[in-house]
Amino acid sequence: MKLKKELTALPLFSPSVVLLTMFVFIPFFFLLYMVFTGVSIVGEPAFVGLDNFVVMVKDPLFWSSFQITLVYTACVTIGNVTIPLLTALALNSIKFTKIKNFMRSCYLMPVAISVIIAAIVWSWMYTPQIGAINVVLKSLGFQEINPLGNPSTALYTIALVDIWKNIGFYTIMYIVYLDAIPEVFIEAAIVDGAKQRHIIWHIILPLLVPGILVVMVFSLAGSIAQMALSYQMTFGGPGFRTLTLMFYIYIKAFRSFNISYAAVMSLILFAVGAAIAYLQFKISKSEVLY
Amino acid sequence: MNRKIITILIFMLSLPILVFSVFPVYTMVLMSLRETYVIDLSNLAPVGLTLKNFWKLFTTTNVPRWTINSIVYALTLTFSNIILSAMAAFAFARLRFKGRDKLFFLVVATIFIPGYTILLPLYLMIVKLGLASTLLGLVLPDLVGGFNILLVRQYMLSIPESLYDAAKIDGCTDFQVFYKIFLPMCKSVLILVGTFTFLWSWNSFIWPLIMMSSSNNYTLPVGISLFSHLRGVTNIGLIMAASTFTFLPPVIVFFIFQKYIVKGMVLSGIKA
Repeated sequence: MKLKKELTALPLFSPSVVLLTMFVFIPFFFLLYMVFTGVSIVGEPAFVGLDNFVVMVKDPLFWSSFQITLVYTACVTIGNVTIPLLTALALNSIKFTKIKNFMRSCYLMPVAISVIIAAIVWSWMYTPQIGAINVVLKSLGFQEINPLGNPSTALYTIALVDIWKNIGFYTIMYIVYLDAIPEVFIEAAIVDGAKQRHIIWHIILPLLVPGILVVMVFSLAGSIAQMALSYQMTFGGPGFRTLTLMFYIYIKAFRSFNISYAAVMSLILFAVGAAIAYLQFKISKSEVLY
Repeated sequence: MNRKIITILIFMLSLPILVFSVFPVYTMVLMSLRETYVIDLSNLAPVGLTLKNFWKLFTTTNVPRWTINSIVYALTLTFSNIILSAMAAFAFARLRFKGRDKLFFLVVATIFIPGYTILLPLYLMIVKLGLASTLLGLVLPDLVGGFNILLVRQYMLSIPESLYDAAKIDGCTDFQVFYKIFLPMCKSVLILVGTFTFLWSWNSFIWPLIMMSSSNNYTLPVGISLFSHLRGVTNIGLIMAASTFTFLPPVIVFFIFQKYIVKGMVLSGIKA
């Protein structure tokens, strides 16, 4: 009888377990192997120990791409935490369902777009002379701008596209947390004579803290490995200013064919990414809904 | 009165954000339907439209090829994820077998190894297997996902134990319980898994970029990316047409299954 139970279960879970082992665990261990041996497309691997780490630490481009990734992630996260909060509060205050749904659909539209398409459209919009933004600026009498060509603004310009793309997603997340705030709290406060801004500041926002944390962590997870936008809009940017870590890994692996160096940087990215994934896990599990 | 003012203020601030969200999409569609490449305040209205760009797109470029590739890729992953995660979730949720919990722990552990981390070793593995630039090589790593299994299993756990017991008493085998009872009951979470997988795989860029080496093999996002760098400014209408076209299937899927997608976003926030 017991054997029969196992025979039934086996064909159900084994394809998944085999696939996951082959295509998640094994590559991961292969990555570790790559980091500590000098594996390359040709030639024999040999144990090189921490050599790859030394090369990485000495590479200014690694440090700059790491820093750029952090700045980018911080920027996008700030945008993802604040703007959707505003739109969620706005949507929440609307009584007419049709208008609410229409607005929600508008916010959600960029979510369905591929990052590449978003990059192409925004790149064009930013183009000097003919891009929509500059055309509008010129007709209003302002100077033209070229934010993508400017080393100090390029990264933030790209971050804006990332933020733009995800407004709808985080708006919905916030709405979930807003819905969870009991009406009675707010009604009691109104009865007690509280002004609206007090209601928002002292009741809604503190109760939204779990929601804000969740949005923050999701945003971190989504932006830490950004490459497509950099690739399409600036290809590393004026003077490497938009070269994120993931993009640098791609360049080293698939353009320079420096596999073991790319591997060690992947490991670093893994350390950061896994930490964020862990945070995501902990936060989604532990936060309490009233 | 104060209350109304703040609410109105928030609402007013959300309107520019609405325009901000929609305007680029609108511009993209508008430009795909025009032959001139300048949009300014004078021709923002949807007049003077033509389908010429789309015609050129389908008759002179590799877009039809890429579309088929994208469809095959996205549908393969969508269906495999639905089926495989439903099967595994059922086994982990309702069946008892040796090593079940340890194996499930392994499945959950994969969630902590983000995909972008192992892109490089995965690529090398697929190349070593001789599957570079093939559809099989492209889909293999993503046929099932740990998170999907987790999600479906969570849903299945909420189906009462008694239903399972009653069916077994009636003489059903475990397989029959699976596809006659659980599968239909899990329709909504499976649609959720399917839509998310479809959206993600249709829009996927990095992995197809790495894997596919010849123009005939590209999926739409990869093809359009290379396309956009080849053509000059005078073909912006063509690029926008390609973009609009690529945008259409996800947005259609998105709006048909909006209910499920919103629910999925909700669930991501509360893995209760």
